[in-house]
Amino acid sequence: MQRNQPAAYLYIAPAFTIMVLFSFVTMGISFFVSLHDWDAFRGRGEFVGAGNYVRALTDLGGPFWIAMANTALYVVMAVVGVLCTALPLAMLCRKARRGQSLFRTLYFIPSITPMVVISLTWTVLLKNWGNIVDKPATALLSIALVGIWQGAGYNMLLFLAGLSEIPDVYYDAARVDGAGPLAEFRHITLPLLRNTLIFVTIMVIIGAFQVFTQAYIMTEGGPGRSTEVLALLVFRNAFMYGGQMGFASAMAWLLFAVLFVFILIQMRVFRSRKVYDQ
Amino acid sequence: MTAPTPTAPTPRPRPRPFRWGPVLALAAMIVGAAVMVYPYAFTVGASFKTRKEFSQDRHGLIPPRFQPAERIQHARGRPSALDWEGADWPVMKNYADAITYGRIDVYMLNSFFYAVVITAVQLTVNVLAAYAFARMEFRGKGVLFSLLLATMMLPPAVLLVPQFLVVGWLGLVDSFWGVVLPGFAGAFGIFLLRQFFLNIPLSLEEAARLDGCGPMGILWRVILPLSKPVLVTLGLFTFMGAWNSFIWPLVVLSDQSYYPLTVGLSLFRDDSGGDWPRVFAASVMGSGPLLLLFLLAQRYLVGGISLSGLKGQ
Amino acid sequence: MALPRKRSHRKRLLILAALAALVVWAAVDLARGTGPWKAVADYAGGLARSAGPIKPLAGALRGAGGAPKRPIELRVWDWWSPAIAEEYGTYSHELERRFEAAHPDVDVVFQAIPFGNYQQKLATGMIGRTPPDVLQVSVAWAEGLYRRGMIRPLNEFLETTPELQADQFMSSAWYHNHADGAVFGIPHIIDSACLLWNLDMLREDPQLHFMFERAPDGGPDFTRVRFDAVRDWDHFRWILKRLYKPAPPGGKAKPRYGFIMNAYSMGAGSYMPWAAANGITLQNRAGTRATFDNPAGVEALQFMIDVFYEDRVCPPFTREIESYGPFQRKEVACSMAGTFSGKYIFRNINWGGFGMTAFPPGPRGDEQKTVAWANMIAISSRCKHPKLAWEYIRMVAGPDGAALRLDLLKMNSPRLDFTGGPQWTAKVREYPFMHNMQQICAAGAPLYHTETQAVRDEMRPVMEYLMLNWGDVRDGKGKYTGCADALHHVAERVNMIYDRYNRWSRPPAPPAKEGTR
Repeated sequence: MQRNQPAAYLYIAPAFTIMVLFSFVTMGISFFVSLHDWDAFRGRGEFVGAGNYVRALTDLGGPFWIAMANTALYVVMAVVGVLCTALPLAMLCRKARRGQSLFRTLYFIPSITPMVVISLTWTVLLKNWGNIVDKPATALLSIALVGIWQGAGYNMLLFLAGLSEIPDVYYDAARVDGAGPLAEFRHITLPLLRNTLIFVTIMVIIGAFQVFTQAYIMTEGGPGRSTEVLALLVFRNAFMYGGQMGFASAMAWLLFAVLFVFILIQMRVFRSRKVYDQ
Repeated sequence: MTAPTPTAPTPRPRPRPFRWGPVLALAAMIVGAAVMVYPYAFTVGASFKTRKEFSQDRHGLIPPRFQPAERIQHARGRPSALDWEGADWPVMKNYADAITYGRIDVYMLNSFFYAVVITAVQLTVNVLAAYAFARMEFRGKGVLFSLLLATMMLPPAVLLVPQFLVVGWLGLVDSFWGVVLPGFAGAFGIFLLRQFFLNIPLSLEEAARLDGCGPMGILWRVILPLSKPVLVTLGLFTFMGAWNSFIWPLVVLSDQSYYPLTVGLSLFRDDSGGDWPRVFAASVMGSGPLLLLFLLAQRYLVGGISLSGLKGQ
Repeated sequence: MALPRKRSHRKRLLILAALAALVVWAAVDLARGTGPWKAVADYAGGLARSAGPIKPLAGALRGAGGAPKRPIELRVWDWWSPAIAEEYGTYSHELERRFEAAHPDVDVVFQAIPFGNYQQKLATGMIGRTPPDVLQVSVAWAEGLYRRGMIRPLNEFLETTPELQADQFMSSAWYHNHADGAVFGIPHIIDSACLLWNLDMLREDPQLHFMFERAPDGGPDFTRVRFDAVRDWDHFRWILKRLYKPAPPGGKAKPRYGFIMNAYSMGAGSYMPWAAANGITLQNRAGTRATFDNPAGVEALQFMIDVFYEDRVCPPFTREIESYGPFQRKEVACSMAGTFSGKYIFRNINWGGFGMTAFPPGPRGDEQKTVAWANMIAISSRCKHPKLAWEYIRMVAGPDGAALRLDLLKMNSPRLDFTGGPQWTAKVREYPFMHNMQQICAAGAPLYHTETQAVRDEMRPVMEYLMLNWGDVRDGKGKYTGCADALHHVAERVNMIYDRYNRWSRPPAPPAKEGTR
């Protein structure tokens, strides 16, 4: 096993060709496209340099910043929603002691249903209950609710796994010391769950920044521009308008720049866990 | 050896105090489960209503023809919700419409093909690469592994537009290979498999090597049989991810006979102009297969979350 | 140890026997051509032929016996889908039948794409393996598609086709289909925006009888309303106030509204006819400038807002999926719609007691106006058989096609020789609401046509905001100080869209004519 085995390159070749093609090469192409006027059909247009980036960033009331604000708001709602649903659910699930496997199954079903199906059903349900989808003030909340609902089960399972790592002896010791449930939570659960919390939060943030399906199916970015999120704006500019693929690519790169920070944090947590495990 | 000393009679065990905690928690979980399940019940119920019944009663779970009270009223000749021409329409009409007009069966078949091909290719490619990273030494191994780590972090929304261009330059837009090709990349699977392979005891491999097996033979004879749980889990997740993918097929396809279920459902909704029961019938048919798969294989999936979520990344 | 083995052995035999029986049953069914297995096989065959990924396989298996019957495939794209209205399916089948009968080696294949996704799907399809050959194109996209190179000029074909010449069509129909000397589409239907009126409600009020056409005996003809029934905007508001009936006491019934405005898809579509009635269009012909940022444009928008907020004759705003919901439910007397709406209302509730008028002139307008558009048929630039595609266009846009559309779809034709004939008269007798369609379409100003998707996405949020939050704007708490401010803001952004469009879409070179220098 210590020898240098050149055959290994053959083993990793298929994975790497595809991976490199559809990640680094595409990122490079995306950058190249963002420097031009580009049409989906006609192809390359004029070279505009930083023009697309300038247009996105300097147009303060314009679609990019509106979409950025919408997306940021959505991310906040998603994180708050997940932490307020999945974590309590996981703790309740443990406390209930009975029917845990049934609950795990039931709560997980939305996570395996296509988002299109979920969006269609919730469009009608939310119209029935107060019609929050059509009001500009609450439309973003309604698509956030759908996202939180879908992810509740999956995130609950992640928290369950994290909770199961906390040895019971700590809780027993705390109970002997006379600590109440709130103190238990603050001093034992939260600190020992820290890595899981960070992991889940970062995953939710990265996923929420790219929300598309609910906005496309439920509201199509309306009413007004209240649910026009970045992924939807990129899609519209690249494929529905003429000649704006360069602008769409510039916006995608700006989104990537924002996400990069969170991605770095996740890589840190990732690495530290690996070291911890090994 | 002393005689056992007489001790005081052991006190009777105190009856355990009744704790509200678990009961309340159970109640809360049941309420939550109802919240999770209600939309599905609603969808199924609405899929059996006609357009008219649905617009009159958008809230009810049970269609009028299945409500005993309404049936009795109707039978007695009193006013009921079944008083209109066509109240005796065929129960499965929405489902039949979803197939004839919505072509949901074609879309499901397409989804199946895409998902099977993507899963098969991903598993093969990932197993090979994971084995190399776990068990072989080669120049640049660390760098290449970090590169892999990096690709996993690229958000799909950012890659959408250039992927379209690359697929276009390969001449694969609006074709089967155009839909599946980007799906072959899955670094996450490589990590998962690598971690698993690392935990397989070396002694087994040594034994196989002594028997004269090359690396391929070890992979085939020793590693893979032991990896069945991880392979099944990874396969299921990949299959489900491919079945549920929406935005890439939306972007790359325009020939409707190639649409997967997700895009086909969206098209059917656009064409149905407010006929929600039909759309719901298509939704029920569309989410059926995955639900079935899930119920049959849930221990792999639910267990797999714990596996992938925290440990062994 | 022998016993368990025998049991499993027996079980295996039973399973094999059952399978064999099934196979025999299936074989018998298939051989005889009837029975459940044949139905299953037929269904599976149909499925295999429709599912894209395995179509080639299915085709290869079937075509193993020789060359396909119809080697040339003519792909026709449209947004008229049978799922929207069954008549569309009947219409396309009839076209297919006629064309395939005239050209035995051609297989016509239709694909219906939803209107909202049409451009996106077209761009993808044109890059892919099976681009369309012939396609219906809306005026909203036509010039853009031509500039992007997706549809080809038709001048060479026009020269040899006497029955499709510009002077045979209404001038408003031959407006959007050419640019820089190139004709890229042939109009086949013309539609315009219109006001829909519930004739029963008009009839209830004798003071509104002037709106009806005169019957031969001099009295009002209650099945037809005059296309110029409304004199001007003040007259319109007066009529609406008369038609509005407040809710009867008791709380159960709803009021009967005079007019319905839809804030949620409010945008250029609802605004344009009123702006046209006030004398302006949304953009200039060349697509370089927005032309609504002026007092006339502001007046038109203010008028719409006033009808809702001052006159209070409209129901509260909701997001309806179907545009004619309240009108069909007889909850409003008047609604904005199009000359194409008749067949939808007929299909939905089998009722023809409505009529259409144009939009009355505003203070700065001087005649009845609306916006009109003539959808056109075009040939894609990737069509391999342009001459064949042209034959298809001749069939569709010629007099026979127009007659077919009138018959099946109750649609108007932009051909000038159309309304003279007996077929038109007979149709109008059967569906009286169609009688003034030609007049309304002839009164149409051109619909906007440059980068309309982007323009619409700019206008819609602002219009929606104004309509939904006028109270705040009026009190000075809104995002804009008023209509003028909002329209100015929109016009600035729309001009930016036009600038960008004209920069990246330098038009292709105009087609060279044979025999010219």
